[in-house]
Amino acid sequence: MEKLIASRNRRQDRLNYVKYWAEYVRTHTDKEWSRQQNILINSIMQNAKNSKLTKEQYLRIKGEIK
Amino acid sequence: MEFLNKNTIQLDKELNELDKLVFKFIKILKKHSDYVIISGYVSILLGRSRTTEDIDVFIKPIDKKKFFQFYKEIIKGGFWCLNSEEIDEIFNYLRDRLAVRFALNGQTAPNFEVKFAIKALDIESFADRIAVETKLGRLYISSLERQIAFKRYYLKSDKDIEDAFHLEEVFKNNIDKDKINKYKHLLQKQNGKINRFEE
Repeated sequence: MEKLIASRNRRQDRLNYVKYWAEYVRTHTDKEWSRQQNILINSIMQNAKNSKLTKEQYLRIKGEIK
Repeated sequence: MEFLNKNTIQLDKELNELDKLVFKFIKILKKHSDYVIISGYVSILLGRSRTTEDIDVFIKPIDKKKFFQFYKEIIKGGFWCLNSEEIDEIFNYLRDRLAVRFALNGQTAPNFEVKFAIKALDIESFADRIAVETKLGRLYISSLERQIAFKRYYLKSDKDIEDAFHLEEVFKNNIDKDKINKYKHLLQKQNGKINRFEE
């Protein structure tokens, strides 16, 4: 794999990471990359369960009700 | 993952909690309407290293009776609607081309943002949707070229550009750049314009 290129520009830095990760996905088996991806997603899913936001608070944050 | 043919991707990933939730919802939804998943979750399903709080789903417009059947079953399945508990009101939102959100009971996110496909391009997304075959079954997603055009040239936030870039990089050998350009022009044409499906 190519090295992850660092950048002083935040946006470019993120795009470099997206490219780096996409190459990992392309060059590794689905099982391998998904194990990495799942650590992130499963932990965020766990946090979501603990959220105390009501429907109204959520929709207000989204700007869908006043 | 690999394309088995131009409309089918075989995906052997280990499914995460978000994927399992999507299957739980879609298992009920597909009994009542055709659907296609669009936007962020498409990139996530196909490897992007981020998560999302809303899973965007187009459904083909259904009548009130059919929607009521869906609603009863989705509530029984452990979901609630964030917008309202009145079935008529929820149906009216959909009919008025607004999205309604469903989440697991007691939770607000992740949620399924469900919308009737009414604009011409939205309806067309059913014609070339992609079947993603996984261990838990099949999910229908929008074509990659549509996704890329929509995110890169219409939504255009940093997150959307990154989602498009991820798909372009992962599927660099499968993507039809002419199609992306075609959708880009169609999106520009449709943007803000009332089409015959909305009249």
